[in-house]
This record gives sequence, C-alpha cells and structure tokens, in this order.
Amino acid sequence: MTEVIKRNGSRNSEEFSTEKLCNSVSAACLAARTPEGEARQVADAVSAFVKEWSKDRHGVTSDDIRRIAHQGLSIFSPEAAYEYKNHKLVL
Amino acid sequence: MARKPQFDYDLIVIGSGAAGSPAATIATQNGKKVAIVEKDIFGGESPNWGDIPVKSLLHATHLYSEAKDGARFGIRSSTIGYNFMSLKAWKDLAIKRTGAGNNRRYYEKQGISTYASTAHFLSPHEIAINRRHLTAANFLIAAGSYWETPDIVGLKNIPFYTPRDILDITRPPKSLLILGGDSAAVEYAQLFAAFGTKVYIVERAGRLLPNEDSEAGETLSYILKRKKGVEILTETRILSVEKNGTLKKIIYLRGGQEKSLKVDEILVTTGRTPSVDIGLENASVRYTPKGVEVNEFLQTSTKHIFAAGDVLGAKKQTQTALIESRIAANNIFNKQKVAPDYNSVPNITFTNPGVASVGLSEDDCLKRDLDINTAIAPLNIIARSNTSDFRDGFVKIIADRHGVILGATVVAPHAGEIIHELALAVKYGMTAGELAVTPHAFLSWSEAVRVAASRLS
Repeated sequence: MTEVIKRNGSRNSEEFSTEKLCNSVSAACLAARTPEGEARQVADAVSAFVKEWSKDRHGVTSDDIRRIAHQGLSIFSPEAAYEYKNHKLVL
Repeated sequence: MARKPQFDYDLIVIGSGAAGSPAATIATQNGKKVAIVEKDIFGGESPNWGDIPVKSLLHATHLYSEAKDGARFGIRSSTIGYNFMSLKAWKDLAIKRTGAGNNRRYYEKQGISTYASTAHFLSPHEIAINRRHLTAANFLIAAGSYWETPDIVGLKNIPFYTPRDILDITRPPKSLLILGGDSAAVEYAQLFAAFGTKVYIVERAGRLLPNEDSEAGETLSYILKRKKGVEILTETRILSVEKNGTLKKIIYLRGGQEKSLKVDEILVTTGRTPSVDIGLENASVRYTPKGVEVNEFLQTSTKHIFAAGDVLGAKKQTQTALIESRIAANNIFNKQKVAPDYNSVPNITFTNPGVASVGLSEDDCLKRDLDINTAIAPLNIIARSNTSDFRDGFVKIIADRHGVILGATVVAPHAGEIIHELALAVKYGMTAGELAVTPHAFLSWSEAVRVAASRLS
C-alpha cells in the first residue's frame, strides 16, 4: 500500500485512494466536454496508470500523484490533461 | 536560538553500485553515519551482471579461442571444447569473489546501514522507503540507469534479452542478433561467436564503436567478420520484429532496401535511460529525462544533494562512476570542492584485440576546430607482432601543433594496459617527443606507442 503525504506540510498522510483520483480526473474530462461514459473510462485508465507507477513506492506526495496523473491524462486525453493541470487558473 | 535540525543520517546514498559504494565507504570511514538504499541487487550492475561476469567470461573465451587457433604454434587443439555450465560456474565464482556482488553484508560490515527498497524523495531532506521515512543532512543520488525497450514495432511482443539477463541462458543460442554497436555489443558478439553462435550486429551509425576513432571500429569490424564470422550491418535500422515459429524474424532497412533475417535470440544493448523517477521534484532537484543536472562539483540544484554515475546521463564506464563517487564524497563533506577530470579517464573495450582510448578523439578535435597532427603505428612494424603472430591493430596518437598529446586510441592485445601510459601523458600534458624518448621494452606491445609518438615528434 502506498502512503500519500499531503501537500499542505501538516504531515497528515493517507493511503492512496483510486476513487479520489478517478473523481478528479473524471471532473477534468467533463470540464473538457468529454462524454460522461468516456470520462469514466479515461479516469479508470489514468487511475490504473498511476497505480502501476506507485506500486513499488512506499510513500509519495500528493504532488507526485497529480504529476503522474497528468502524464497519464496527456496520453489518454490531452484536452482533459490541460484542464487537470490548470483547473485553479480556469476557476 | 534555532535548534540545529536532527537527521537520521549524515549521508544517504541512493544506489549501491559503482557510483554509490565508494562514497558510502569513504564517508563511513570518516566517522559519518551512512545509509545505502538499493532497490535491486546490492552491488549494482558492475559486479552482478556487468563488468565482472562479462569480463570473466571473455577471459575464458579468449583462452579458448587462442587455444583452438594454436595449431600454427605446434599446439594440438583438435579436442579442445568447453562446458557452458562450467563457464557459468566460473563466472559465478568471479562474482562471489568481489565480495560486493549481491551481498548486503559487505556494506553492513563496514558500518553502513542498508535498506532494500525503492527510495522516493518526499522533501529535500526526507525519503520514503519500506513504509518508513528516513532523513539525512546530505544525499548522493547514484540510482544508475535502466534499459528501456527501443521503439521498434513488435519488439514488446516477443521475448528478448538485455545485458541484464543474457548471461542467465543455459546454452548459447544458434544465432543471435545484437542491437547496438558500442563496447558492450562487440564484447557480447565476440563472446557468443566463440561458442559457435552465428552473430549479427545491427548498428544505425556508419561503423562499430561510433564514439571511438574510425580506425578502431573499422579494425574491429574486420577482425570480427574475418575471424569470428560475425555479420555486421551498419547504417541499418530495424523496422519490425515478430515471432516466426521458434525463431524471430527481423525486417530491417539497409542501403534503401528492406531485407529480413531470422535468428534464435535478440540481445538489445541500446536504450539506457537514467533512473530519475525518484521524486526529485519534491527535493527541488532539477533534472531532464536525459539525467540529473549537476554543476562541475557534481552538486545538484539542491546544495546538499549530489549525484554521480549513470543517473547523470549517458552510459558511463565503471571507472568514471567510481571517480565521480569518490569526488562526490569529498565535495559533500569538505569545503574544498574538486571537479572530476574526465579527459584522462580511459575507455576500454575488452575484446581481443582490445580497444582503448583516452582524451579527445579525432572527431572531437574536428568539432572543436583544433589544429592537430595524428600518427598511427600499425602493430605489424613492431617485433612483438612477429613473436605473437598478431598483426591487426595499431596505436594512434593525436597531438596539437606543439606536440602536446590530446588523445590516443589503441587497438591491440592488452590495449587496456597499454592505454594507461597515454592516459598519464594526456593528464600531465606530455608531448609526443617526451613519450618518444622514454624507453619502451623491446618485444612489448607498448613499443608501438613509442613508434607513434616518434612519428609526431
């Protein structure tokens, strides 16, 4: 199991959750006007991509998860990757 | 007053290979608290599947080949053979005798804490390993490199070997295609050709050993083709590979024509990628896919983190990694920092004859627009070529217009020994004239060095 260190420096950590990642990736896909079914598929693919990357790592940061998720999204949906990376700017 | 931060270790070394071990040993001998983190086999590539096993097998195959060709010296060699499993046992003995191969206790006996885990930076002073977090005042990134599957259609769908696992085979293949034409490729080519394997080398560049002087690649190609029956396909690009029954069918492009050939096994020696995916962003260490960025003192963009070895990019020989590791250890703990001198580090290919070079090649000089003179002494003009009955080889020396030696290439038996005299010359800016007047023993191969130097002086 991979431990995720949160970015706010408070040293809270949690186990890596594919559900949280799927939700955020799915939201980025929907923001890029991807149909809902396809958004879910892309989210599952990205989640598997990140899980594969993290399987041998015992601790990663939330920034790492975002970075690798962005790498995965760039492969499966470049438009959603842009939304995912720049969502704070967009909002 | 702010408290000095407390760390678990003075130094954590990520990687236990040639770039990590010396630094860890030096630091611990100087009273520092040191840990090594290794995700793979302790000792790294060199003792486990690199230099030690390959060169020990090459030694045995050179003996075998020389003995088989001994009839011209009056040696009866018709019944000479080999036992592949015995050869592998010899190789395993050589690995075991290094002490470092696959031996975690080797480090623990020196007082170095060891962790068998991947390391991942969480912050500039903290890494995560095995569900623990370790902190250190300093880090040395010696994570090495790994083989990435080249982007060739179909290659991912068929089994192929890399230098990591080719020596695990139980018997030599009937035919072998080697992708790549560098030092490792020609060493494996000679190794397997000695066992009777039909070897093909495929290289995109115009010659073997593209990073050496052109004469070295041409001479070695001639020897491999003529004496070992190796087929060398330079200026060749592989288009696709696929399974064809028990064989592998390779389609390649050469001279504008598509051709194919079938082999039993494929060995990929190209495509080394630095292992930079260790959370360097969290430590603010700058890097690219080509490697970690360091200054001349091997210091990264985070001043307490250093890096050495293959992780800096470009496949390096073990001696370079060793030098960098020792220098990194000095630079981490001493105010007086030292920069590695790469110019006088020899590169050696352990074929027979060997190929060795030091300093600048002729291509390097041309790129820098240097005004140079070169001289080549073929081996067949020195007495040793007669008594050893070996004539294919040379010593080439490159000097500037004042005669200062800038670089040299040797293709000869024991090239790896001969080159060190020239490395000394390059390091201390000796002239060809100084080398020419230095006595060289009669009937030594090094007489060719004196002859080449005298042609320049």
